[in-house]
Amino acid sequence: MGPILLLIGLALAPADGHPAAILGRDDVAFARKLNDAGFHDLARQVCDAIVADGSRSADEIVDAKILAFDAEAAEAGDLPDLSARKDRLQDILDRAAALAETLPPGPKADRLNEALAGAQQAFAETLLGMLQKQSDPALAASIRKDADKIFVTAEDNLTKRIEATQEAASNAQTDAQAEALDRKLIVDMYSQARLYFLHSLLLAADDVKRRLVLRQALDAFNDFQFSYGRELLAFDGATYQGLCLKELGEDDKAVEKFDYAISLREGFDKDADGKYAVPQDAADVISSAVLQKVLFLESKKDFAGASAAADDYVATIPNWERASQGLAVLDAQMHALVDGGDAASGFKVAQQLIELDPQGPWGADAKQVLTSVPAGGASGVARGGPDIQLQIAGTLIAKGENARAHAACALARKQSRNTPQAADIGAASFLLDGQAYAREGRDMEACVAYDAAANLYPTGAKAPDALWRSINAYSDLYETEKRPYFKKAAQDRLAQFAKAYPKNPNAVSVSLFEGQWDEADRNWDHAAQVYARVPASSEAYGEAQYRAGSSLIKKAAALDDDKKTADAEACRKQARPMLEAGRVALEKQMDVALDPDVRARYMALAFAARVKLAGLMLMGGAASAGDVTKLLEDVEQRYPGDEDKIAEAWRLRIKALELQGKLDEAVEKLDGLVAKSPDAAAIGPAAGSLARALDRAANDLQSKDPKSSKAHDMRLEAARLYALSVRPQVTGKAPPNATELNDVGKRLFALALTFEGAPDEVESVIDWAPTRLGQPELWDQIGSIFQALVAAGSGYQSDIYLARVQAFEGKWRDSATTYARLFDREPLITDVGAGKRFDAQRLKSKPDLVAAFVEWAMSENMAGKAADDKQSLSRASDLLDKALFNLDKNGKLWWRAKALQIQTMLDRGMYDVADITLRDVERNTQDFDGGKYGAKARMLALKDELAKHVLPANKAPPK
Amino acid sequence: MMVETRRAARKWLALPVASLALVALAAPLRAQETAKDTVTLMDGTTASGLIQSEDFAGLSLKEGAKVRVIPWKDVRDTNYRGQDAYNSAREAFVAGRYQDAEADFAKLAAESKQKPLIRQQVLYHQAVLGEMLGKPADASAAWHDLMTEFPQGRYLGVAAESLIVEKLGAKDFAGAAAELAKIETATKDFADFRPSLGVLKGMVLEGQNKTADAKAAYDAAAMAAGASTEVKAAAALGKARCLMLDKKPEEAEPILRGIVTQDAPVRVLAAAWNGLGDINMDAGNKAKDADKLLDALFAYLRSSVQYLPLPGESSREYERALAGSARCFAYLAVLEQKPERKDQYNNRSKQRIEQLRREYPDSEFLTGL
Repeated sequence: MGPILLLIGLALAPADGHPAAILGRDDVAFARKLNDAGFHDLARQVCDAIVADGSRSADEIVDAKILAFDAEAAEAGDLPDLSARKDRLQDILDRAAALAETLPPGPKADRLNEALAGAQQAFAETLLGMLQKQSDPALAASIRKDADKIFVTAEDNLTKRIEATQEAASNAQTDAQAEALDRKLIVDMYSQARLYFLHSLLLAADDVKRRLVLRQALDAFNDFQFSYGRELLAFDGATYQGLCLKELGEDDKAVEKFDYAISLREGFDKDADGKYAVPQDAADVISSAVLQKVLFLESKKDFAGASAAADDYVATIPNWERASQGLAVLDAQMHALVDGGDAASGFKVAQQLIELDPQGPWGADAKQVLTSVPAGGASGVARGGPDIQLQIAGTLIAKGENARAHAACALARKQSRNTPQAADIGAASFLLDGQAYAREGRDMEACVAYDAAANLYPTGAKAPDALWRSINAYSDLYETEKRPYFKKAAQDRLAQFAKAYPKNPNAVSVSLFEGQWDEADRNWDHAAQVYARVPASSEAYGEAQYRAGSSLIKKAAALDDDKKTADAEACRKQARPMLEAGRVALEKQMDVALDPDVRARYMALAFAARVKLAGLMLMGGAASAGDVTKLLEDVEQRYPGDEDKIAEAWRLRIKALELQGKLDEAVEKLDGLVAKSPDAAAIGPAAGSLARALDRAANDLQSKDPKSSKAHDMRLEAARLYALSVRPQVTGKAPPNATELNDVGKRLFALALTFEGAPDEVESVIDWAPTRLGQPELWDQIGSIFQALVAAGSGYQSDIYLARVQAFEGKWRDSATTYARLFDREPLITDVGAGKRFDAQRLKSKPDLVAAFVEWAMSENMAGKAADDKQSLSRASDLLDKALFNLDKNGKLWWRAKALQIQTMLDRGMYDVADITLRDVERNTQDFDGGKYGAKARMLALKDELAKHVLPANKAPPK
Repeated sequence: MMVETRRAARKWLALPVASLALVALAAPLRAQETAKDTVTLMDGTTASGLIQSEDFAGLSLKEGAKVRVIPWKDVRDTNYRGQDAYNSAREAFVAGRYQDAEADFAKLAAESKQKPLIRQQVLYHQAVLGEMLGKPADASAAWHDLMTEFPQGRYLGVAAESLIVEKLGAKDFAGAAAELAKIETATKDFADFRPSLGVLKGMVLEGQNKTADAKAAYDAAAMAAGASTEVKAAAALGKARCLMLDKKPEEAEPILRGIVTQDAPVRVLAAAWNGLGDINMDAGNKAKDADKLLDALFAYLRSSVQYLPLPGESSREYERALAGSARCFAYLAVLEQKPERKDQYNNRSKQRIEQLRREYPDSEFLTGL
């Protein structure tokens, strides 16, 4: 896709609800280009607009519909939820098949068949993914059964069509007709063979049919090669055949097929350097075949053979790494070498992978190998060299394994001692050490490590960076602790830096430290003088302006503390143009900086200037909050991929809209972001900020009007956003933050009870139970939050909340199990010798376990009744006996437990015992609880219920 | 060759590849056979051949018909062909799986037909593991065996020192002297070892608080013909320690400062920084001088950050540095007036103590913390 098309595509992105507005000439061709460029959603939008446009020809509409299937299938492939993806693809396949019925043979039918083949492949992959994730054998069998049916139908349809096409081809009247039919046959026959292969993957390993379908696949690929052996697809098919033969256990033949596919290269000229002049398409096919060969040989423990196959590929294919499976081949070779015991060579390949794909999945896998395989490898021979140790250290630091990282750094230094690399490795390793310590908050150790880099290895490439970090770290220590010792240390190192590295880009900022120390001493005016000394022509001007503005804001805060509001306001006013000037200058520097470290520094300062400016605007209230939106409108473009900054921008935008009373607009913007980039990391923090803002606004509204329906709607919206804010943690895409999950979970629990109309004091089902849930999805989401907390080993209260949610949802068995697991971990009765007495220590530290104990009994009771499980009912009785023994008589919980005890007796058919118990309560209390806890009505209801089963004492039984 | 290409040809099924890649990850390890012993040298190059012996002076490598002796300062790593069991045990050791390594080396030690080269390595690893796992008797037995079986072997220096240090650590000065006498007898004809023996003599005298004699022994060791840089630095360090015992820190400090500017072995440098830490901590604590205490703190941190021991190396100075930094933080907390800063320093102190306890639960430096 060319840049112009890209721009058109981007311009099309915010489609504004006027489909015709995006149409012009050659729209189908335009949509195809969009689709080929990966803008599937935009392609589908254009196609939909064509179909909806009444003025289009039938031909054009059919073309658009066919292309829309292609685009839709690609879109569906991006859906993370496999079940949703499967349903969507099934729908596409059904609609495409229905359209196919109406089309006569010809180019349109061919294109539709191609689209169908693509969708079928995606469908098969989805089903396979579902099968791999399915642990329930019954469900897996059901998926297989459904899949088998779908594939058999698709294969039959293709067979019929191939036969019809073959017959039509034998009767073709013109060359053009014959050629068109031939092309159709190529696509259909290849698709059919591949369909058989995909079908075989979906069948169980021990299913006899699997072997039959694999044979069908082999035969179909053979037929294809017989008819179209010169096609690139024929070589691609040979790789599939190799996979079929591997599955059938015919190992030698499998390798022959892979080799046949690789032999494609021999049809091209060989250069002097031993490389075949293969075009990209052919390289893709060869890379796939080599990959399968390497994986196959490794699975047979022929590690040397696997590695040799990869070496041969690298040696003979130009730009091998750009082929579709080029990096996958290298990755497979790395594993083969490591698994074969040659860790040293494996490490070298790993390092190559990291260089080729530093941020991608292959680089990540290589880093994983570097950090998980012992350095000595299976042979204990050669450890990875110092470069590799540094890679290992970097990866370990990212994983938080700092002790191992320090050991790797020390090893790197030892290995590089007396070598030409010693200075670079030494400085880089101590820099890494320092970064690891800084991450742990061990600033002094960080200082020592940075100093070591600069003092022991001053000529190392990373030494200036390390010394700069040392200055900053000592300066930070001074700003925090105000000890002249640290200021002196920073000054000494500044002098060292200026002398040793005068041309370093950071040298321009040396003078600014004086201002920072003045700020730390609250010497605002002198700080301002220091920053003002930096002329506009200096490289440090942007930073100086930013720091000057920032210093004035701190001064204003100090003046606020002294109740000098007018002076404070004047300072803030003075700060704004400085921050603006700083932002502009820093962003210009950021755009032209080539050194990534320098650029990162400018980016951090420039964004900090924006944040400070936004803060000033927000302090101005609704009047200036509108400026925040404008200030931050291009953050996503200026800081692409920097999720922390984008999330901060969203937080500020929401705050601004909240101040302006435009929370609806904030919701709309956030939903737009979710629709456009559902996985954006900024969504969580932004949704959380917005949810809290809505919650606050709803509270304000309700305090003015307790029956406000708008407040209710706002809370519903808040609940949706709260759930959205923690979704990545709940789905395992982000590590769980227990505090955030806990806060959100509890707030949602309270909101859900409000939505269900529960009285204020309700905590669990023993207080109140809904007849039917109004927000079942929300309850599911709350359950998932507490489930995630429980899985993360959070405190006992998460178990209680999870069990309560399950009880409200009527999942009584789940609820009872959750309580049982909780009390297994936190037993209330620890001393068997003490009988039923609850453990006083535990009660003191975790008093809410008592209510949970009674709730457990209720869950057992309800689960027992639902499943006619006598053991469960008996367990409920036992729990209630113990609870009542410990509870304060006539307290709220005692009455709940007592009513539940009698109810359980009734449920167990122990009518006489229930009757005696109830009478005993009646006799020993004054009108039960007098209606205080709602127990009186409950007891009277139980009494009525009992009357149906027990004869009054003064009545004789009927004869 | 004309190859027709189509769009469909680019659509390659990714899933089987991914699933096969998973299979690939599960394949078991297989030890690699190499044809020769290899020696990785400090300059990154490799020499291969037959390692005939590993002696105190260096490694003898037979390359074809020639035999060359490579001094230990030039050797980074060695690999012995066909020694899968040893390599596996060593791998467990390097990877920090000490219990596995202990069991593996015990099995190797029990083998009667062991190549001397491997036997020496096995005993050395057993001794080190014994010390690391808090089994001093096992360590001592292994060091003794190493001394007896390989009286001029690669690990003579470290074995002799460990045996002496063990006795000194237990305040068994007579035992240390007896051990020294044994070592002296065993190595009496081995001139290369004499300077090292001089340092050990100084250590025993130092332990007995005979600081004047100890200083003389250290001076003699440093002046001895053939004394290596390491021996000279160790002797200077010993002398500084004696001066500190004589309550002359002002004389010890310049010696220690002299050591830390040299390219001395890591453990000597770590010990020198710790010595500087001790001197400054003592002075800072007496004078209630926070800056002096910070000087002490940064000296200890030099030792724990800059001169980290590698697996198999003595961790004594590292442990001492952690304990020293914990003490410095605690003293700084005492001097600090602001409650939140006081808490911060106390927390930093606790953090280092916890680290020492976690990493070295049997550390002698935990006493009094």
